[in-house]
Amino acid sequence: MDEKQLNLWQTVIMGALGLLVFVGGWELLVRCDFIDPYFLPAPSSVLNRMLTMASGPEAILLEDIKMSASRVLTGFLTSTLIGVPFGLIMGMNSHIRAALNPIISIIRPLPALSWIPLSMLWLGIDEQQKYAIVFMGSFTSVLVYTTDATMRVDQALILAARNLGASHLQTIRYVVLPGALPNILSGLKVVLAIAWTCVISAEMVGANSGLGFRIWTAKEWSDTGQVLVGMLSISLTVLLLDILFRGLERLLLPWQREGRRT
Amino acid sequence: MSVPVIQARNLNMTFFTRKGSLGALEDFSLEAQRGEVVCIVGASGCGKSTFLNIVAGFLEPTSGQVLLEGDEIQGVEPRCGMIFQDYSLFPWMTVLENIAFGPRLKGASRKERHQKAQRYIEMVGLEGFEQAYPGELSGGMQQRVALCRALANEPDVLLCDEPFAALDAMTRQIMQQELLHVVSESQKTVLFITHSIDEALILSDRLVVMSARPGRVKAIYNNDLPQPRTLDVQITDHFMKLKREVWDLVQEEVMGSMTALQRVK
Amino acid sequence: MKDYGKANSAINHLLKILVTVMILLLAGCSDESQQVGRSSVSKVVAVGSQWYGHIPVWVGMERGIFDRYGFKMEWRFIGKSMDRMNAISSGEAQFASLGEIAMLSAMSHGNDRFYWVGNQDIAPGFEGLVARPGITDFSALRGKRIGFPFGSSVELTCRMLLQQNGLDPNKDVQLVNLEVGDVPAVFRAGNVDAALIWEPGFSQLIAVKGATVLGMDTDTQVYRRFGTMTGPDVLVISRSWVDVDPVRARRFMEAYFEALEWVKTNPDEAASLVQGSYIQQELELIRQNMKKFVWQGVAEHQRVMSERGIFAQAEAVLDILHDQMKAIPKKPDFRRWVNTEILPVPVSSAKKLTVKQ
Repeated sequence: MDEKQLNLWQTVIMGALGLLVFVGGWELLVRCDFIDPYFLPAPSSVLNRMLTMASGPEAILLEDIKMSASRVLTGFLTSTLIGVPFGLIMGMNSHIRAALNPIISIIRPLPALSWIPLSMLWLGIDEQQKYAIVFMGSFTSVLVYTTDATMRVDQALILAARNLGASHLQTIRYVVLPGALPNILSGLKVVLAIAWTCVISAEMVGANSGLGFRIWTAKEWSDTGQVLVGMLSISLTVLLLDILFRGLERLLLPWQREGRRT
Repeated sequence: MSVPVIQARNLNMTFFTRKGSLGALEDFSLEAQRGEVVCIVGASGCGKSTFLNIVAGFLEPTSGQVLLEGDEIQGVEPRCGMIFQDYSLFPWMTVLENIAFGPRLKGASRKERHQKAQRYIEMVGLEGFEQAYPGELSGGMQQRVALCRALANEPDVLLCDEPFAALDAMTRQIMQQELLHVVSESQKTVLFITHSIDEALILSDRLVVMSARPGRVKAIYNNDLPQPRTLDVQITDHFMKLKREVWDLVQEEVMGSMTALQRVK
Repeated sequence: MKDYGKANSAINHLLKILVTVMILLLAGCSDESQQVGRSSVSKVVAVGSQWYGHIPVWVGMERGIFDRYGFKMEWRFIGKSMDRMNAISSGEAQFASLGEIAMLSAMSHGNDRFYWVGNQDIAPGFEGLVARPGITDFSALRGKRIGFPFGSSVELTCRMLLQQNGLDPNKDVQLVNLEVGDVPAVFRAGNVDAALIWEPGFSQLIAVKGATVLGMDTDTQVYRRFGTMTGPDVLVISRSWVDVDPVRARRFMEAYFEALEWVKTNPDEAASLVQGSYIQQELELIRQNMKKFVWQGVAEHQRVMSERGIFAQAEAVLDILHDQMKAIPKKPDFRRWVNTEILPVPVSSAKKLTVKQ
C-alpha cells in the first residue's frame, strides 16, 4: 500500500488541484451547455452572487451567517453546559446510568425536524424555539459522548490517584475530568456539525433570517443560485468553526500535540 | 523488637465470577519489618498482585486482615504507595505536576510542592524534564517519575507490582540500583513482586516464594547475599545456589498446578 | 506497484459494466407518454393542493371525462406552487394549476420546460390580512410581526396592503415565513401579530375571537385595476409532453375544459363530488365558497389569454416582483411561454397541428 505521509505543502497542493479540477470541470460543463444553469448555475455566477449578497449596506449574507451561527452556538453551548456534567455523573454512577438510558434511547434518534411541531406549540416562533430545536438535536449526543468518554478513563489512573490520597471529589477533578476531556472534545466536534444541520431544519419555518431560511426562500423563488450560495456559506462557516475548535483542543489538551508519543 | 510495619494475617481471597468461585489467596500470612525489602516470587496467577492490592486497600479480603503499624487497613491506604507495572502516570500532567500530585492533595502550596518534586527529580537524574509530559518519555524515565511520585507522597510502605518488567535489561538494572539507593536512604519498607528470580535476589532482604493458586506462603528465605549486590556477587556460587533452590520451588508449583489442570481435564 | 495491475483491470471491467447498465436504464426510461401511437391510453400526472382551483381536474377524474378522451389521470398532492413547478420541470408531472407568481419566477430564471395555457378562475376575496385582537388598523401594525408563506400570492397582497396604508414592508414591520399549514396555529397562539393565508386557513384566522380583517386581496391596487387576485391560478403544462404530440395535448385540454364547463353549470354537484376525497371541508362551506368563483371556460379564454386579459396584470405583477421586491433577477417576456394553440379554440388563428416526427 502506498502509505507515504504527505508533508504540509504536498497536502495543500493536492487539495488545491482537486478543488480546481472539480470547480473548473463544473464551470466548463455549464458554459458548454452540458448543464442547464437553471438546474445548476456555474461556480463563477455562484461566487459572484455570494459577493453581492455579502457586500453593500445590507449585506444579508453576513446577517444570515450571524443569525444561524448565534442559533447554533446558543443551542450547542446550552446542551454542552447541561450535557457534560450529566454525562460525567452518568459515566461514574451505574445506577443513574441505568435509570436514564431508556429515556435517552427514546429521544436520541429523533431528528431535529420532528421537534418542529412541538417546539412551535410550546415556544412559538421566537429565537427560543430555534435554540430549543438545536438543543434537542444535540443534547442526547453530548450526553452519550460524555458518558462514554468518562467510562473510558483508565481505571488504573483512578486507582493511582486514590492511592496517592485523593478523595472522590479530587479524583473527579484531577483524573476523571482531564482523562475524559479528549474524548469529550472530539464528541463535541461531531455534535457541533449535527447542531448545524438542526438549525437549517429549524429555519424552515417561522424565520426571516439565517442561512437555512435563505435556502428555503430561494427555493420558493426558484433561485438556484441563492440556494448554492446558502449551501456554500454553510460549508465555509462550519469549516471555520472546525478550525477554531481544533485551536481550542490544542489549548486544552497540551499533552496531545503532534510529535508527542501518546 | 518493634511492631512489624506490615502484618498480613490469614488472608483469604475468593473471587466470585460467572464461571464459579476463584480462590486467589488461602491463609496467606506475611510480615515485613521497617526498612525491609521483601520480594515475592511465584508462578503466574498465584495471587501476588491480589495480595498487593489488598495491602493497598484496593481490594477487601474475603477474610483475614492486614495491619499497617498495628492498625487494620480499611479502604484505600495512601500510606502504602503503589508503583504500577504500566507506570500509570497522569498523561495530562507534566513530570513535575505528577510528582507534586500527592503533596498537592494534602494542601501543600505551589512553591512547597514544586520544590519537593524538584528534589526527587534531581535524585533520579531527570533534570531538564520537569515540563515534559509522560508521553514524551521513555519507559525507564516514566518509571523513575512513578517512583518519585510515590516517594514524594511520603508513604510508610512502597508496594511495587513488577515495576521493572516492561523495561529493557540495562534500564532494569539501573532502576534496581536506583530503588535500592532510595530505599536505603529513606528506610522505607518495600513489598516487591517480580517474576525474575535474579531481580528478587538482587533486591530482597527476605524472599518469599508463593505457591500456585490459591496462593500460600511456600517458603521464605533470609537473603544473606552480601551487599552491594553487584555483578560480582551475581556470579558467585552462593547466588547460583539460591537461585537454583528458588527456581526449583517455583517450578514445583508450576508443574503441580499443570498436572492438577490435566487431572481436571 | 505490481499488485495494482490486477486491481486496475478489475476496476476497468466494473466501470464498463456500470456504464452499459446506465445507458440501458436511461434508454428504458423513456416516458410512457412519449411513445406516440404505441398505446391509446396516455398516463397524465396532475399535481395540486386542496384549493378550489383544482376542482375541474377532480371532476374530470370523478366523472370519467379524462377516461373518455383516452387519458389515465393520476393526482398527486403537492402543497406549494413552486414545488409543483419543479414537478413539471423534472417531468414528474405533466399538468398543474399553480400560482402565477411561482410561474413568473420560474420564467425569470430561464425555466423553459413548460407552456402557459390558461387561467381557469377568478376568485378574489379568499385571502386577506387578519390581525390579532387589539390591532384594529394598519398604524397599529408598526413594529409588529406578520406571518405568511413567503413567495406566494399573499406576500404580494400583504406588501401592497401595507404600502397602500403607509407602511414600508421592509422596514416598518417584521415579516416571518410560515408553512401554509402552520399559519392558523401560529396565529391562534399569538406568536405573530397578524397573518395572511388563503382558504381554508383563512376561515380559521377570522374564527379567532376579536380578530380583525384589515384588508382583503380585493382591496389591493392590482385587484382594482385588473379585477383579479394578486396571484391568480394559472394552468401550466409540460412543454416536452406537448411538443411530442400536440394533437394529444389539445385533446387533453378539450377534456379539461369539458370538465370545467360542467363545474360551471353544476356547482353544487361538483362540490359533492370533491368533498371528502379532495377537499376536507364541510359540504355547505364548499358550496358557499364556490359561489365566489368565476370560472373561465373556452369562450372566456379568448380574451383571458391575450393583452386584453391577464397579460396586463402579469406585467404589473412583474413590476412589483422585480422593481419593488427585487425577488426576481429580470422581467421575462412571458409571451414566449404562452401556448394557446392547444386550447379547444385556439386564440390565434387556427393553425394545423403537426406531430413531431
